[in-house]
Amino acid sequence: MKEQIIKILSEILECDPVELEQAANFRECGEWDSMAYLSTVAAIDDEFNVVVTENDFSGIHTIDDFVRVVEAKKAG
Amino acid sequence: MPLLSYEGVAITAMAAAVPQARFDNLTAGPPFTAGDAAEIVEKTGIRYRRIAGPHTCASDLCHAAANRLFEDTGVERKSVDVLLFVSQTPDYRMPATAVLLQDRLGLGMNTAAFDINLGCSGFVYGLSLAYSYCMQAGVNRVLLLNGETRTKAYSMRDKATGLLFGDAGSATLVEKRASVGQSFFTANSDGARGEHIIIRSGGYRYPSTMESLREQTFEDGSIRSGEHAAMKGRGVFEFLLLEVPKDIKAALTAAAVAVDEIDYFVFHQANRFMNEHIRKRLRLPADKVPYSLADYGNTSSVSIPLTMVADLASPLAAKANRLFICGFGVGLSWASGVVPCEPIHVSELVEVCDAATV
Repeated sequence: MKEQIIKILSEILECDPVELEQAANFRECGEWDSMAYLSTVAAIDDEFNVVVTENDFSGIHTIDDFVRVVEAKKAG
Repeated sequence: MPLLSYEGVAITAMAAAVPQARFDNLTAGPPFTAGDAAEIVEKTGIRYRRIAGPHTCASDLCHAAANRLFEDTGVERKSVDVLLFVSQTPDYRMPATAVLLQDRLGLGMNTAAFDINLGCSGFVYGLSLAYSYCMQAGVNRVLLLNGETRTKAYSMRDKATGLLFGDAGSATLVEKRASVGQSFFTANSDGARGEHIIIRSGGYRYPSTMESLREQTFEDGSIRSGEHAAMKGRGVFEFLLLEVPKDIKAALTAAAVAVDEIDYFVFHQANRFMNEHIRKRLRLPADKVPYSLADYGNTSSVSIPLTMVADLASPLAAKANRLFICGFGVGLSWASGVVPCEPIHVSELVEVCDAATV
């Protein structure tokens, strides 16, 4: 799952996957504007059948946070 | 979510009208840069929009559409039993615009007429109500009008919404048709998300003041007042993903029809990015999902009938079709319908000049 999330975000933010994985805040790796936000939510929904909400995003800073949120949502 | 079903009622004729004035989003000025405008056109699929002039109200667009429908079909105006006007841009706060349209359209005084205050879900809600009336022994004809001048509700200089909306009006005639079979509708509401799309001031909660009319400049360069509509796109998208596919599946299940038994899925035209996401999630074939976004933008409750008139006129007129319709947006409010149709009389799209009419 981690690899897929990194792939999705690196394509949307047009940034280096390694840089993204190490970032303290993934938003700083590229232009995190509203289109990037919507594209990410759509891609995560396509890939994992999970809707990451605005509320969820407030607790997501690193890729590991992202993985945790998606895993928790998938588990129900 | 109520599941509503109706028997022996159908759409028999449709017409739609748009303002003649066309705006090309690629020519948008500040606060949009040329790059912003190009990106918005690409992502939303909205290149052109029709803009109502100062003299044109939603009712005028519906009036033009309904007149064309009566002229083309020869339906006797006095035979209309119920007139429904769905709009959030009415002529006056009172009286109801539908009542004024009863007179302007030459309908009888024994016509029931009232307004329905809904936006993007409004065609589906209105059609469901029209079908409900038409099930009555004493009702043979219902005229459903959907009209919006959304470009007057939003600031054209709001970076989130300034290039999305267009103006239009439609007229849909609903009649008894024993041979058409059953139609199914859902209807839903979530007032907890009411703030996602709202015109805060100018109603009775927060009446107009000098302050509410004053335009403010926001951090992203957007300019709007408290009497312009404001939209939280992220929250709206979240709602779409969480609720709309679920409702579409529920309506298909209620009607006991599979995706391949539907001829066309006519969705509210929000924007191409959001609509295409829903289409792909539901694995709907692209050729069954028409769009009118590129030419008319998001016209709120008119977007479904406008798409039918502008993009589906030939198949709707030529043969029987089973349609799936779904509207979603301001409220938040959403509804779906499985609507079998016999051949429908579809008038050519009417273009309306801006002229003082009332």
